[in-house]
Amino acid sequence: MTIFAVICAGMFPIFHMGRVWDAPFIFPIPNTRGPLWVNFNSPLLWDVFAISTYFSVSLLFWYSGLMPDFGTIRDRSKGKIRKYLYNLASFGWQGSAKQWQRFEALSLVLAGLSTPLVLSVHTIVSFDFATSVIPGWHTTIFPPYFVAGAIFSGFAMVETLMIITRKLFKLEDYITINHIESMNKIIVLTGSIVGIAYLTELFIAWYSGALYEQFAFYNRILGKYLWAYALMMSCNVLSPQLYWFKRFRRSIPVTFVLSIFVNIGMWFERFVIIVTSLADDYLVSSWAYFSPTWVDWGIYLGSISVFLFLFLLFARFFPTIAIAEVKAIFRTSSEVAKAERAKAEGATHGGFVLKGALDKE
Amino acid sequence: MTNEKFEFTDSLKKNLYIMMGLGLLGLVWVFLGDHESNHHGRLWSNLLANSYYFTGIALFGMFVVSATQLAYGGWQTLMKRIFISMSAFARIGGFLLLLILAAGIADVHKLYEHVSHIMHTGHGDPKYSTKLVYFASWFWIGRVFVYALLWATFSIVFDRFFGEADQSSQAKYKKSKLLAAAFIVVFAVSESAVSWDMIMSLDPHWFSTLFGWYNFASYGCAAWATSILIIIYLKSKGYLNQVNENHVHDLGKMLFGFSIFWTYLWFSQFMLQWYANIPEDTNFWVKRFDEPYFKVTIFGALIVNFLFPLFFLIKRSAKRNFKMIGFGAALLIFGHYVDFFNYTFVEPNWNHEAMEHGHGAAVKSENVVMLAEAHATEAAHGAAATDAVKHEGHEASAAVEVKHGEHGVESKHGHEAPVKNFASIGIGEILVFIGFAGLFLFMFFSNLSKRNIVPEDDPYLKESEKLNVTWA
Amino acid sequence: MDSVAPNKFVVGLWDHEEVYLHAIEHLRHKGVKIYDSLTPFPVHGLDEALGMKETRLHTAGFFFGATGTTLALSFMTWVMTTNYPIDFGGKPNWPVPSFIPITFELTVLFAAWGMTLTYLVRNKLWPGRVPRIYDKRTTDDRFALVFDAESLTDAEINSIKDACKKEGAVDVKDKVFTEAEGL
Repeated sequence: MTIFAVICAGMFPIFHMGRVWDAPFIFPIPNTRGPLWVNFNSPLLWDVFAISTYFSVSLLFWYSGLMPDFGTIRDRSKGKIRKYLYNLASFGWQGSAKQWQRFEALSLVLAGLSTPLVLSVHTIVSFDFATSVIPGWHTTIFPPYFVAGAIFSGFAMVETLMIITRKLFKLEDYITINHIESMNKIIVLTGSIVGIAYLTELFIAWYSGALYEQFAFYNRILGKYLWAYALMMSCNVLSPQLYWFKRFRRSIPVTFVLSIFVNIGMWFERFVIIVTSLADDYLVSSWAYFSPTWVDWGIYLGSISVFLFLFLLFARFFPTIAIAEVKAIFRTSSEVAKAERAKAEGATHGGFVLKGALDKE
Repeated sequence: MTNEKFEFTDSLKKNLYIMMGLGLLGLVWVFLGDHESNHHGRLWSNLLANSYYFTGIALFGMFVVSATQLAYGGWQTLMKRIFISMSAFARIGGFLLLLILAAGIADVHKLYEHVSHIMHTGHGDPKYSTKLVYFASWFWIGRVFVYALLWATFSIVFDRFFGEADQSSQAKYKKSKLLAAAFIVVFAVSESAVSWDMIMSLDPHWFSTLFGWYNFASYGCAAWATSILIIIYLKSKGYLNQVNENHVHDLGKMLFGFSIFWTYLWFSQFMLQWYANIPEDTNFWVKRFDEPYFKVTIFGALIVNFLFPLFFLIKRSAKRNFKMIGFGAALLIFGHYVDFFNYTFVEPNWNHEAMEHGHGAAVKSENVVMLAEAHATEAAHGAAATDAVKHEGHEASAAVEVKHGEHGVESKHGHEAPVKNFASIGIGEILVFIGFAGLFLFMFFSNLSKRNIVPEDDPYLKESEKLNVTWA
Repeated sequence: MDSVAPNKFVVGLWDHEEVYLHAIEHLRHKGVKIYDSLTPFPVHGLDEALGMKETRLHTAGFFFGATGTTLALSFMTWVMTTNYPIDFGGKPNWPVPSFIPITFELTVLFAAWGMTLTYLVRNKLWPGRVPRIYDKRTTDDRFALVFDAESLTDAEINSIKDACKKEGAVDVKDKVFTEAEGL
């Protein structure tokens, strides 16, 4: 649960970024130019719907979960203004049985809706590429492989932020090393799925006998962007393989460094997909080598800054841990409760219960 | 009672023998009922589709055990050995595929004829240079042999390892994680590769990077459905008393989830190839949509495997009622059989000559047809729009008929129209399916009867017994 | 809730959810009417213990979702076939596969927003609402039962208090709201 809360925390600024290019006319709104509607055949338009839905539904999910916690903060805060503001934010939460009952139903359904929504968002982003006829973009594995990549990079980004937050806020008792180990397992799993997808793409390009396809992939792995491909492969596929070893899975420095590696690797995955396929396309006269201008750098650094800014604001004023959810599992899952229960049961099951995870030594 | 053994009664054995006998009858039926020009394509298509399908189900059994073992799953522990026993078929499944492939290479049947055609005529053509390597007979057979060997080995090792007593020792538990991880890695590679080697190679001109994962989702659904049916059967015979509607509910959720996942992959694969509309991709779909029969089976499979679970399995009550979920599971097993039917049965019945003579031209013309269909219908209906793929209006098909004829002549170099002798899902197919199901169940039950059904000392057993699904 | 809300209450506080659940069962068995119950987190089994009806929020969500599906499909069909048919990339004018992504998104959008708004309305939550806080500790670690004491005699109030204490309440107190009270 804690992990889940922190994932929400880490991802919420990303939701905001989906709207940076928002302009009214990308939505199908009635207008005075005769019947002039958006083109529903365009994957870019699908993306508009996907990202705005994703943003607003994630916002609902995130905020509905925060309301009870704002209530908690309201009742603890001292000043009149703080009290007023946190009550405003909590929508006047009380915590009555009926409220909780509906809360449970709502969060269950919103979670159920958000799961396919996450899939759909990454799928539709991949459609932006895969519906085209550019070799290296047009491939059917893109949708699930983008989803796996998103989980992969998402976990890595959460780990990066979480490890810092955990240290600064002294959350070691909430976010334990077991959580980090589980996340690292997910990282090695999704990293390997992404790796298999890379290899599948390579293999099928080779197998297909389609000359353009073969050329695009030959260029990708051995062309002028060899360095980018090598960086992507080593960061995304090779480096997470360290997590097969328990020692590395449970080491915080290793986790932090590897999470940065994965962030870099996944950034380069996008770079490889976009740049290598476009640099040498069908038209030989337009073959070129991409080098970023100050505008590219500015947008890149700016987006990172916005992300971090929002995240830090969040961490400063909002609860970084879902208070109510942690309370709900405190009596069943906390180390203290487990120790109590194990004592009561006479430490049956070879003491497994006491230890929590079965294979923890 | 946790220490009960399954008794493989004579009457059950007899029934399974009858099922297998019906399967043999079915093989004879499709062998005799086939058209001369089809080179026993129907017989071998039946063998291929069913071997592949049931091998997939068997492998998925091991996958479930591995995945839940790695994820600290506790809900499935009571049913763990059901999944282990389901994998018994993997001991022969891979070798059946090997046999079919060997027969194909030895020219006993013409399922892989396009490949052998490339192997004979493709030298010097850069388009085929990689295929000449990949489909070199010994390399090809060798790969399938390796998968078969790996699967059989894993099936035996899983059976030994999880069938033994003493599941609760720490050393054993640790080892089980390693075994599970090893299987996942082997499975991830081999399931994709075998889908390329056995199914995608039926049409070596077509390729889709998603194909392996798509196949995985399809027999995944079938495997969850199979486990549900088996559990309902075992319960009706008085076994597995601790398994109750909560466990079946969870299996139903997995079935529902995999059905949606399958649809997602189906749509992704189809939509991307439909949208880009390039000949390398669309030849696959044009072949299928050109035959009204396969058009029906493809959209039929989509309805059964997507809309049905979406509206039926989403309900809590449906997942907790053994009769309803049993019906749903049986229907989905059939639905995913039809899915594989769509992949394996089209190719042998597609006119080989049309494909062989200048593959590029033939395929291109098909693509043009697809486009032409869209334009023709637009012209015919004016502003009223139609769907190139779905529309079946009379004017439209008439227009397409004309276009098809024109291009057909061009591409087939004077050959006669395709032999309309495609297999349908007839009595023969159903009998062969029953036969394979009988074989699968026979191996399942004889494996199950070797030891206690429930792993009585598994550390997660208590968690499984207490399972209570309160939501959804 | 009643049209005229009562102002005088008895509040019992517990510190363990299992004791709390048992207390609710016993008190209801005795025929004591519980006005409200406040907990710091969703306690499993609380709705059964209080005898509450299953919420129908999911059903509402399904219908909101169905509205979204219908709206998306019919609107896109109308635009692409009737109002503004355009020729695009050799696609037919009624390209069903192209409609699927947006249809899905709108289904989710409608279901999520519809359900959340229903949830807020039904729970009487809105920004600026001033809740009645019976005890601040209910958002920390105490489980509270609230009894309407408006029309009860002192003897009845005392018997409720005694019953609460017998059932393991760590604190029992009176709470009277005045009209002007804010946060």
